[in-house]
Amino acid sequence: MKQPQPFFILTLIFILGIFLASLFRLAFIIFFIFCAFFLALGLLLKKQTPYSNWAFCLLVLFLGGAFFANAQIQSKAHISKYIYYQNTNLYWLKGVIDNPPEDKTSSRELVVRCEEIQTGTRKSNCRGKIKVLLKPNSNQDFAYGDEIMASGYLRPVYSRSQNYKHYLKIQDIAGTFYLESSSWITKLSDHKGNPVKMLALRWKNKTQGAIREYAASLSAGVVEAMLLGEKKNIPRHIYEAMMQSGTVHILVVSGFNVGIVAFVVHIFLKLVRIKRKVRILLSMPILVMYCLMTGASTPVVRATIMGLVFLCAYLVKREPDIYHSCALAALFILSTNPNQLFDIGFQLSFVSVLSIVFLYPKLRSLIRIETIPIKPLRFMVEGLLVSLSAWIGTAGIIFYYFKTFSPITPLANLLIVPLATLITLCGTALVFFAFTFAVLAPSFAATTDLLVMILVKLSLFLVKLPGACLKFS
Amino acid sequence: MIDLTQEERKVILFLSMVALCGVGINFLVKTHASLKTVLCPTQETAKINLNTADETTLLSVPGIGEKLAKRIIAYRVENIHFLLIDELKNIPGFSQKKLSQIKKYVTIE
Repeated sequence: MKQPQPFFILTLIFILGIFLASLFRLAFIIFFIFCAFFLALGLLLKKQTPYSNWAFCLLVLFLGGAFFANAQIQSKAHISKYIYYQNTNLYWLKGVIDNPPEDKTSSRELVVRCEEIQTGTRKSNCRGKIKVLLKPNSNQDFAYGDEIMASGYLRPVYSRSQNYKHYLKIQDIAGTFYLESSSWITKLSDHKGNPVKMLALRWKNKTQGAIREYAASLSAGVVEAMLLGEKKNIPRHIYEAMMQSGTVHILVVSGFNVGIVAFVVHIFLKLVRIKRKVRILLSMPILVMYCLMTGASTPVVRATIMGLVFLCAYLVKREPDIYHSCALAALFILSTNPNQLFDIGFQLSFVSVLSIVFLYPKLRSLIRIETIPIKPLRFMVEGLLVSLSAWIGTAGIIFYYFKTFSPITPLANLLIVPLATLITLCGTALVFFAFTFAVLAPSFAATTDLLVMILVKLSLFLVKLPGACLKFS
Repeated sequence: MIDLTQEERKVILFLSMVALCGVGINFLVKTHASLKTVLCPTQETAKINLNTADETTLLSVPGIGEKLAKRIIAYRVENIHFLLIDELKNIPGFSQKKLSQIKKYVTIE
């Protein structure tokens, strides 16, 4: 096994700095002073000594702390200053829609990036994000990048789930805005969002349209979840069955999907005889656009950055290092938002990858997989070992947050992951042919429907096995 | 603990310096940015401009339905623009009562 590189260790130290800062909650200025001190020490100690290496480690540790402490500070104009219980003031809010609208059972939700707020005759500039609630079947059509004006009341987020409140805090959503009247929200202008993200969302809508046109409703829902991260059309009982069997990760866009998309793009470009360097250079922006199309969740950002690092390594003809690419992805995500360290998605995403990378070679040498003579059996055992490695690494986190333990997970993953791979490939082919040779799309849609039916039946069967999922209060 | 080459040390020092400057500047911007507050005699921010609003925007005003919104736009096209809010009384369907109801939501610019 390759030894972890220094950059990986320094990233772990940076993460430790964030964690310690969350425990001790010191002022930002203290971390800044320590960082400056160890930076000066690092510059002065030119010779490589144990002391200089310690200075570097402590510099990175306090840098992590400084980033975390800074992330907790809100600007004077932050919207949270107007949010408190029993606030009966009427506000006018002007802002830009920051995410595509989400339809829930009781409301339609917009996440708005605030720009101005007015109460009475006082108008102030404003920052931060707020969740605006509309009626569920509101006929007003809002999209990402629309500048809106609304009148209503500000309230803290109300939820019985502490995990959900924690999640909103990580996303920097300060509170909820209830409209004064259901019709008192108006669009002032559009196209105020990031143009690249707007293009990605347009592609996403077209892709969704193509999937729904050809696939049956259940398989369209599953394919949309696997390819685009849209889970709202998956029936609740199927989602819960997959959660209990530990296979719900296939319904979440993650590195698995990014890898398949990168593979498909690469193969397609190779088929049309594009040169190697051009192929790699073209694959990179396509990966980034796919990341934006799927909502840029933490697992997808992690996989995209790791994918870009690997592509860059191939471009300059150097061997890619998985620990370095993982460390770079973690640093990128945590430097933009250190609170992500406490997000379940971040923890599961990185722990699963690292546990596979670390444990799989050890398990492989432990059971001496090379001695298995039958190749298909050897392939199955390898798959089981990968699943087992990820399961061992993530079992503790899943138990801590969800109080469940699924012994069926390694077996379920062995059966379901290859099926999910086929569904993702068929779904990608369906989308491709829907836009190019539409006459072939129904064939791929029919295959996708069959595979999804097998997936659903298998999931429901596995979760009914005795001891499949153990729940603890 | 870790062995760093001379080049690695230089890169880490440079990146740490840039990161420290960046987070320091961000801290200063957050803590010293001024809260710009202006006093508006009326809630100008919130009002809809009768001379530029499209049909969808007009429909969001309580009291204006589809027919009235179309009539407002037709009047605006015919007369180029509104000079006064009270001109709405010239449009069929706009009574004094309706005008006083929607006056607080509209403006002329």
